[in-house]
Parts: sequence; C-alpha cells; structure tokens
Amino acid sequence: MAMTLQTTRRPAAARPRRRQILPDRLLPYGMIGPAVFVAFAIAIVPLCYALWLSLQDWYMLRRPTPVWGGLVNYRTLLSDTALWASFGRTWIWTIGTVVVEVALALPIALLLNRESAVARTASAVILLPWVTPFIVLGFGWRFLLDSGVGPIHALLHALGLAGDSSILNDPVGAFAMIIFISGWKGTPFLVIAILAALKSIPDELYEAAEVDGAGPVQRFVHVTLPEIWNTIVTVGLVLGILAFYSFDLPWIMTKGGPQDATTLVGIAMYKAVFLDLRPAYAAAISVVMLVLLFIASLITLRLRRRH
Amino acid sequence: MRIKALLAATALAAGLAASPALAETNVTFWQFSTRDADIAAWNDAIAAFEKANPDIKVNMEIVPWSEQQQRLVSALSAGGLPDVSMLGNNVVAQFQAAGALAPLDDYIAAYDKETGDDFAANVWPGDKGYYNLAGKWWASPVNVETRALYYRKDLFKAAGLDPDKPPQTWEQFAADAKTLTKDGVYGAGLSMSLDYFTVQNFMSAYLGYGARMLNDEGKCGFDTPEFKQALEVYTSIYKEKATHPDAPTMNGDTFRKGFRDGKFAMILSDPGLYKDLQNDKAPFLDDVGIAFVPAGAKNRSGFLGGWPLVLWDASENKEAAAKWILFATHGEALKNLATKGGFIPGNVALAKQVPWTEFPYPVFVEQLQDAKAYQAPSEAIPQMGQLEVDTIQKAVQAVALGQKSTDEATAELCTAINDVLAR
Repeated sequence: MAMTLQTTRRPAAARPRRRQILPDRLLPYGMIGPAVFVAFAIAIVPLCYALWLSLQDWYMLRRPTPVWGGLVNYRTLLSDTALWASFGRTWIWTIGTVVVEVALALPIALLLNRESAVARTASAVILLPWVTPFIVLGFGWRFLLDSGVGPIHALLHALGLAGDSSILNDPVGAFAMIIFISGWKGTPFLVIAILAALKSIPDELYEAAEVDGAGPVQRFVHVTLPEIWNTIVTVGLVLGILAFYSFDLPWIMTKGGPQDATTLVGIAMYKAVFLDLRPAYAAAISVVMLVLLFIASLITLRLRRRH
Repeated sequence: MRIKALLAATALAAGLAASPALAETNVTFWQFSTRDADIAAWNDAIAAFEKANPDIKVNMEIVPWSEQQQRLVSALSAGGLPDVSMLGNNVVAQFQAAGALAPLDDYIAAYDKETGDDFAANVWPGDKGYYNLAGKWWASPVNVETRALYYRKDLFKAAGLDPDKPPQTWEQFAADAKTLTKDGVYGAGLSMSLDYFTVQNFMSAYLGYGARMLNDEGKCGFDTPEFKQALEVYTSIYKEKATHPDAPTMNGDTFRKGFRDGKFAMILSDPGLYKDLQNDKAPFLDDVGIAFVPAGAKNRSGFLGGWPLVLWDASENKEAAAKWILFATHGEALKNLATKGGFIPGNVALAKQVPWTEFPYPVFVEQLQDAKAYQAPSEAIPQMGQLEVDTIQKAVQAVALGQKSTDEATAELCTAINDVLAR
C-alpha cells in the first residue's frame, strides 16, 4: 500500500489539482473496490445467505416459506447417522483422491521433466482427463467397467479383483474404483504444478549434491522432494477441497450406490434440497462442510509452514 | 422546429408500435422434452393457440427432464417459476402440498361449458388419483404411459418355448427368462439398480402380489408376506443369472438399448420402444410380440406414468395460462403432440381414435385400465417424489446382490419410508 501511495503521488503533483478524478488517498480503494465488490457478491453474500438459511425451519412440503428455526437443523444433523457416515466416506474419498493424484503425478512429472520431444507432446496429451467433462468420463468409465464389453473389467477379472459382474456392483470395489477415477482425473493439474516446481530447481543444487556423493535416490529425497514439497501440499490442498465437494462422478457412475457405498456429502446435500425439499437442512450441511474443511485446510497449511 | 416535429412523430410511431405489445399477455411455458419432433409439435401447438388467441403469447423454454426437478425447486425457493410447465405425474402432489400450484377447477368448468367437453370423464382412472387432490384438479394430462411385455418370438422358439404363449405371471416370467438365457442373450432386461426403471418394473410385481406401499394408518405397508414374495420372485431373476450381471448398477436406457441390440429376449417397456425398433430397422422386428405385463398372485398391475401441464400459483397471468393448458391438452393440439411424440394421449376419448387403435397401441391402451400408482389403492402422497428415488430400489438392489435378506431389506425399507412420512 505504501508503495502505491508513493508512486501515485509524484505524477499527481505535476498535474493541476482540478483534473484529479479521485484524491490520492482514495485511489487505492477505488482500484481494489471492484474486485472487493465482486468477491463480496460471489462469496460473502451466498455464505451469509447459507448461514441464515441454515437457521430457518423450512421443509417445503409442510411450509411454503421459511420461518426462524434456530438450531433445529443442526440438532437434526447431529442425530443423522446416515449423513455422518457420508461425511466419513467423504474424508476417505478426499484423502484417497489426493493420494492417487500424488502417486500418479509425481512419477509422471519426473518423466516429463526430461527434455525430449516425447515429453513435450505427452505434456499436452496428459491434460485430457482434466479437461474432459465428468459426464463424458463417467459414461466412458462405465463402459470400460462393463462386465460384457469393458476391457478394464476384463483386466480386473483376470487379476481376480472383479467377479463375473462389474466391480461397480461391489460396495468396496465401487468406492475404491471411483476414488481411483477421481484421482486420475485430477492428476494432470498436479503434474503441471509439480513440473513447474521441478523446472525452477537450480541445477547447482544437484551439482552440489553430486559433488557430495549423493546418488539418484538421495538427490530425489534431499533435493527434489524438499523443493517441490510446498507445491505438492498447496496444490494437493486445492485438489482436496475440490474432491471434498464432489458430486458429479459418483452420481453419474453409481448414483451413490450400491446401497450407500459411494454416497458422499455432496450427494446427501443434493438429495436434501432437490428430492426431500429441505433447503434449510441442506444449508446446515453446507455450513458444517465449510467448517470441517476450514479446520482441515488450517492443519494442512500448518504442515506446509512447518516444513 | 423540424427536429421537434420529427421527435414527436417518432414518439407517436413508437407508441403505436408498442400498443399491441402492451395488450399482449405473455405466458411462460417450461417444456421438458429435448426431442426435435416433440419441440416441433409443441411449436405447432403454440402457433395454433396464438392464432386462436392473438392477445396471448406463449414463450416456450426447453428444460430437459434431467434438470427439471432442480430448476423447479430452485425457482420455487428463489423465484422465477414459469406460468405453466410440464410435470411428472408422481410429483404433482408434492408441489401441490408445497402450495406452489393453482387449482384448475374454475377454468375447467368454463372450458367444459364452452366446448361441451367432460374433462373428468376423459382422464384415465389411474391419473385421477394423481391429479385430483383434496377434491380439486391440479393438472391436465398430456401423456399417459404404461409398460407392456416385449418378447422375442424367434428366441422363444429357439429355446423350446411356445412363441404364442408369453409369460402370464411373474413366476412364469422368471422361469422363461432363465430358459431364454443362452448364447450371449439374457432372458430379461430387468433392472435391480437405483434407477427409476427398477421401481417402474418392480411395482407391477408388488402390486400384483397384493402388497401395498401404505397401510390403512398411512404408514409403510410393505412388511407383509405379499411384498416379500414379490421381492423374492423379482430378484430371483438376477440371482438365477437370467438378466445382465451388471443389472444392479445399469440404468433403464441401457436395458432399452440392449433390447434394441438383441441382447435381451424380454423387456417391460412403453410403446415408444416399438417405434425405436422400426427406426432401427431391427432385423428381428417381425418376431417381436407385445403382451400384458405378468400378473402376480392377486392381480395384474401395470405401471402408470405420464405427465400433465400444471398452472403455477405464482403466475400473474393465470387466466391466459389456463387457457393455454386446456388448449394443449385437448383436441387437435393434443392429438398432434401425441402422434408426433409416439405416446398415448392422457385423454381417454382421444386414445380411442386412430392411430391408437392400431398396432402396437391397443395392448397398451387396454392395459391402462389396470395401470396403477405406486401407492395404489391409497391416495397420492406428497412424499412420493422422495420415496420413489431410492427407497424401494435400495431394497431390490440389496436383496439382488445378496447384501441383505428379504426380511432385513423389507424392515429397512419400512423404516426409511416411515422416516420420510414422519418429517
């Protein structure tokens, strides 16, 4: 802010005062004003509305308009065992997705970091899962896992991981498979981020390590990993937040089943609003989601700072 | 001076041009079909209506079926509802209970008086339970749908079954499906998944066995031997490997496509499937037979689907909107919509005319007399929109996959239904 004031004062002094549209001290506020307004409109207002809505008593089948309900939705939420089970599932889903993303992205990024024509072409191709819409991916994977014609099913069957029917019929198998697909879809984003971090590591660090007698594994553990760790944590956090709010993939692939095996909080919230007509209850779920995610994000960021 | 005169003339011209528009009443209409033929038919109906009513303009917006519930609920809570929309028959009671719909009685009375029609007499028996709630009419039917048994006579012959004797009961259906399953063809295209197709098929079984969704006290009535028997017979088709191994996760469209591709010997489906087979030029088209749905131990019950037009209470142009509803759901307009859409009209008198007297429609039209709502014989309940999504399907899926016994699945189903009813 001090810098801005300094740079704007000098030319202003050279001009006649009457030509100024904004006084110097207001100029910075005027410049950030639109951005603050947009942020307020798209983030703060909906958040406040969700908070207000969560304190209403509004089951649309019984009451056409909301009335003040205090903590009624939160009390219902506390005793909703199916919802807490879906919260538990969502944490497994989130962590599983990020683990798959890191496990796939790290080796791919290391391979692509080598200067070659293949690496340059592969860098573009690898983005495909990230840019493909969920609806296309969902139906594509359903085909791949079909017990009649799906090549991935044939592979899983040969490995003994799937029986005669699709792995999506099995509660544990379906959940694991969709977590893998979720991680696979997010991998390209992490690959690009890690690749950028890898490119920024000075060669001198590797040369110094080599002089000290470090082998490839030691160079990776003591040079590469510390240099890209913050990127992995930060981008992993962003991808984790995206995964936590997932709805599309499990809904398209299994509708939250078999039974409730892939029902995440996103699906529970969708059902609360659009099928059960309980928008206030859904708002309470979203507030709890936000609080839990906020706490998890703080813990993750502490992990980054400590490093 | 010249400029002033020019401005005055412009203002006068603008005023004259605007005056008809000011007198025009706009009716917004959400239409859910995305098929080109349906959209063209609706546009024809709108053009005919506007010609007959030059003071009313109907603005059609396409809202796909897959998004309509989200759009309607969002508009209901935040504003922006249309004047008129289509609606699934099973959720009319839901929106009526939410106070979002306007009754049509006064407009129907005026229409009947003007045209000499008898609205109530021309609504299908099963539909009355969906659209006449608390003694008032809340919807005017466009379409009515039931499912019949499509079966492949050539495959029956090849399996040693009589092609002229399709299964009459669910037990026979299960036995024939098992016999027909061979050489990469499954006997029945029967869903066990969390898809609407499951409950739309299974309801024929549980109602046929005499089970009721709601007992006399208005609570879950499924915890009976009749329901459990229906569940056993229905899921035995999967357990006996007489349907696709992925049936617990497959959706209705996939089964339908499978029958068109010759992968299933039998399927329960609507008249539109025959039209699809004709368009496909299916090599086995001449061997396709259509029969009534199998009966249970007590009766034969068909699925009752369909959609009406409804008038939203938030409408500020109710009279014009109601006029459009009654125009589109009667006479030539409805006949054109139904002919182009390949569906049976929700008007009994119209369904007795050509082309619904010709193959394949008569079997469907006759079966409509036995078509019932999920909760029959109880009245429509507002919670049906919630209950039909995954409560019954979950029980079917759990038993089919062997995750729960019939008793456990039934007990959990009743707990889930009673929880929803008690909210």
